[in-house]
Amino acid sequence: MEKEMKKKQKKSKMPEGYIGRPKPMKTKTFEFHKPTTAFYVKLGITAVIIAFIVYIVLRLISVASYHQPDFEFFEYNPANSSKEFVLESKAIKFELDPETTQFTVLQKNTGKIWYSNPVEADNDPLALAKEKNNMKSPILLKFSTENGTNEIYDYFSNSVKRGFYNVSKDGNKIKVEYTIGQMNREYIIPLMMYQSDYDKWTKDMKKSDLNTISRAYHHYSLDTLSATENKNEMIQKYPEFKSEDLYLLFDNTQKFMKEKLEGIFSEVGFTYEDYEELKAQYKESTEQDVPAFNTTVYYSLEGDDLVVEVPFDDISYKTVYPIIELTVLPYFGAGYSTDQGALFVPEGGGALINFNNGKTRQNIYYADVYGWDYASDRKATITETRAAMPVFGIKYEDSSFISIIENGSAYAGINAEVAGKLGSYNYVNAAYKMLHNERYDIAARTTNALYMYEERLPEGEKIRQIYKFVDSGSIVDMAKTYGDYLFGKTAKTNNTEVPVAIEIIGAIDKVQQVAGLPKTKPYKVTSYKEAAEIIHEIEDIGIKNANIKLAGFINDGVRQSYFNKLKFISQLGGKGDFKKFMKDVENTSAKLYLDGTMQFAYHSGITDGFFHYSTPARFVSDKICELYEYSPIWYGKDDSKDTYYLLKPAAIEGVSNRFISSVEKYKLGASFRDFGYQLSADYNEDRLVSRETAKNIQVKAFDSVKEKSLGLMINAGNDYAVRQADFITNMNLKGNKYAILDEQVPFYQIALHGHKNYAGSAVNLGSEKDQVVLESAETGAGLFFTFMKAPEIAIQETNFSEYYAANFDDWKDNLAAVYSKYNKEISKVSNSQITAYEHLTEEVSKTSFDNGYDVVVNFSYADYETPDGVKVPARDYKVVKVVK
Amino acid sequence: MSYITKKLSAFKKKETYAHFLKTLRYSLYVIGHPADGYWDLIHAKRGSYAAANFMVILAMLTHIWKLRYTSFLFINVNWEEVNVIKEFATILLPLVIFVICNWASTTLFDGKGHLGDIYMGTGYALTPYCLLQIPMIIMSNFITKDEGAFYEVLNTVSFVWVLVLLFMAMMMIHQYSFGKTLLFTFITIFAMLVFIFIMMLFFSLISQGVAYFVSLVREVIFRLN
Repeated sequence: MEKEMKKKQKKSKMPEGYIGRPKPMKTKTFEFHKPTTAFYVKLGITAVIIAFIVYIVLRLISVASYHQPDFEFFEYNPANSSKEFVLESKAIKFELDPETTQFTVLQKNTGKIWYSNPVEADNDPLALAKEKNNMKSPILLKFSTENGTNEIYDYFSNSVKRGFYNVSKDGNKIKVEYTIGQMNREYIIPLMMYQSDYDKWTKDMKKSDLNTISRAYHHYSLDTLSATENKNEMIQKYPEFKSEDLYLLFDNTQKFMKEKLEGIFSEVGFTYEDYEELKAQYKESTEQDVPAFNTTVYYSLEGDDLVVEVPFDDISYKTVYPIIELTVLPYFGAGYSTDQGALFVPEGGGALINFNNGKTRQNIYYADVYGWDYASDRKATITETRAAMPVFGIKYEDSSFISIIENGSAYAGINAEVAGKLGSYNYVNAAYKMLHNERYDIAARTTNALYMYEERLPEGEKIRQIYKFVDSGSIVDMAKTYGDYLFGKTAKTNNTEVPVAIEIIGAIDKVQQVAGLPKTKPYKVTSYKEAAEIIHEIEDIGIKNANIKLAGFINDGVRQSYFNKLKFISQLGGKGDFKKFMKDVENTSAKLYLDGTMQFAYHSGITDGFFHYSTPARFVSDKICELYEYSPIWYGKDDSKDTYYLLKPAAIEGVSNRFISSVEKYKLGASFRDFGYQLSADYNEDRLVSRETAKNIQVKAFDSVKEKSLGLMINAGNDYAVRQADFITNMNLKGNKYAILDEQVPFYQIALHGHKNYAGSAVNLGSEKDQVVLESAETGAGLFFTFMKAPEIAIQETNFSEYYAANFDDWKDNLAAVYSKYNKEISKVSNSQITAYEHLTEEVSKTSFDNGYDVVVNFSYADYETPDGVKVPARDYKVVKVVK
Repeated sequence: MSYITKKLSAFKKKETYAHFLKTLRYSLYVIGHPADGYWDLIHAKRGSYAAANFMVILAMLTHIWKLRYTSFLFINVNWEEVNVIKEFATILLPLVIFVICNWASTTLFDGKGHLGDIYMGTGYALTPYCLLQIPMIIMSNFITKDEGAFYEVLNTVSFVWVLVLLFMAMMMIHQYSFGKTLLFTFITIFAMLVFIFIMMLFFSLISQGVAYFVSLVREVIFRLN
């Protein structure tokens, strides 16, 4: 109360209309406002733009600092290398001629001399000069030029003839270093000198040397420069010329002169750095940038094998001329047009091309080792070429060799050619892909083809090819040599019955209606419960110890989605039914393998842990590896079918680890649908994984399966996988019947038989009745079947028409008949080694086994009687005990 | 907001349904007496949008049912690959384009119909399609291939009837003479073609524009490598 009174009193003291004393003028000061949302949005956009610009700049800088492989200049000096280059072992003697870098191998037991290059190359009546050069070369190199065309450099005319190589012996290894290219040699002499430089280098020189120099350099000085020569231009090019005299090397200085100068300058301590420094100031037109390469080849003997190695780290090239392919020893052991013998190529189980078979109108034989690399794009697929084993060879009447690629096989392709086309020699060799390229389409409207190349060769890898010499001209001996190489004397099969593998298809994918929209979903062809019934019926038929492959049982079926974790298929009964299934078949003799796809992902999304941008591998063009089915009609990419993805190696490793631990958890065996069969790299430039490294990932997975002592089943059986595999299904027994091939031989089967269980493609899905059974009987192979419970109509309107004959109920009786006969006959030889293989007629073959049995197979549609009086009905086989 | 709540509250009233059924039943009168029926539909307000919507939706469903349940003797369709959305569009898109183009051309030449009137007329015109096709789906499962002639005739009738009704609807709604209606039928068809053409042009232009920037970015990426 009192206070209020006081206030009123105070107010009343002021005169009327008084509004307070004048306030000082308000100056604007910075005040911190709480930032609005708009501010944050703008800040974000600015940050993104700045980050993008920084990224672009960084990328440009990193491109500029790209490491160019070091280039070295080798020169052959006969005076220094008078040494003999000989390697010798018990069975062979290797001699290299340093004048040509060609070599010979003497096979002591047979006296056969193998030439690295045809001796009579120069006198070949057919070959043109270019092919003659190829014949005389130890290596052929293919590279790409700036405008995208490929060119082949042979080592003879581009290196050996010009003396650009060096041979040395390093312990028991012979090392040959090559510089390949049409460039001129670099001489370490000053190209230009100012008076100061001239004085510096010539002050300690002898008088005669000075004389030489005065003849090699043109001396310019401002006073004596004649009117015709443009003074200003000279000063512009050489700024110091204003105050100093200038010495320039004459353009037409002779080679011997340069060599002499080099000697003189090296005596006064002129180094390569000095040369570079002066070269940088030299403004006259320098030599053109021509393709130039370095490679080094090592020859050595390991035991009685010749080993040829080409380390990638010693290969250098210019980035504008990327090296695409290397063919090592293209004409080793080549057969002349009068020789008798054959080329061995790894087509299917193996095939022979006879020397001079006259099929000069046919294409050259070519097969990619391990098939296509799925991280390379292809516009069309007509046939798949694949070789499961990186082996080729040549056989003469009494001696032969096989060459096995130990390292770099993933890059290799096998070429074989008969005489009569480019030259008079029959040859077989391996060509290795080096830098992979990919067409880069900027827009549909430009017609320019731009190619992107892999940035570098994989570090630390090498090509390693071994040559094994066999003291006979028999393909069986060659195959046994390979079998010994693969398995030694250790692994032996121990079958009481003929090995049988049966694949049961669980779910396939089919377009089905989901809420009115067509969607690809798993579709049941055999439920878990039905699978158990099939296994029991198989047992009842009398097939003991069957290997059951459960295909399409997990993660959306045969075309498996990304394996983030084990997912049972609800359409087949889900996890509960699977456990019941496991319990149900517990007491059968069947061995179960769970089938899984490791490298590919079908119908996968974020819910599967699959990220479209980061999980797949990349092509060289940096595009995501989205793969298409190819049309069998027009061979091109079929857009109407669903695409799938190739995974990056890190993802593949994750998938295989998770798959193996799932398999272990359910106490099954592991069956890989693609490992050991398909092999692919990843050309993502940030995390390049070469095909060879990808191979090691697969081998690691096999090791881990074996460590956990689980069963291992694979398809096709690439050579790096067969050691660990317990059963190989779908092996290509016969291969493509190319017209250039003369005879199909069971080379791979001979190498594997008695060591590993294997089988060809599914008997019931064969194109011709009993064809697969006959092919299997030929080498005593196992049998493979594919079954499903659903009738054939279930596969209508799907991509699985290959299962047309897979209905189990229809095939049951047939299965019993085929198996009981095959088992009765072939089980006698199922653990034995093959000792001989011959064709009695074109369609009748006879295989001998080491336990004294012969298997005679009649592929023809007429009965056949052998010289010993054994009758083999048409399309049938007989096992005969040989009486000695 | 109030508009929506007003509309929603209408659903609670009994009269709404009575009115809907009454206007829907009127469609049966319209298909029998097109001239009289269409005149009253608009001018005596005996039709409703609700009934027109109902007929359009029923026509779309009939189309789907036809694909699903017609005996395979008379129809060749792979049900697994039918996309319901696309099938709806095959009815809805031509209808919408027709309504728009018809309104756009007639409004310039003394057409008395509003956009809504034209839509309502078109909706009512679909009645015979639903009335005939639904029994035909059932019938198709009971007849043989030889008796297919009945099916084919009925099928044709259902379409011709719809076309006749559409023609009469235009005549009555726009208050045109027969000749003028005929003329404007052709003009409408032409306008529809122009409409589709412009739409395609528009989309291709946009995709070209996008493709330009995509190729620009791709080239930058290529040069970076």
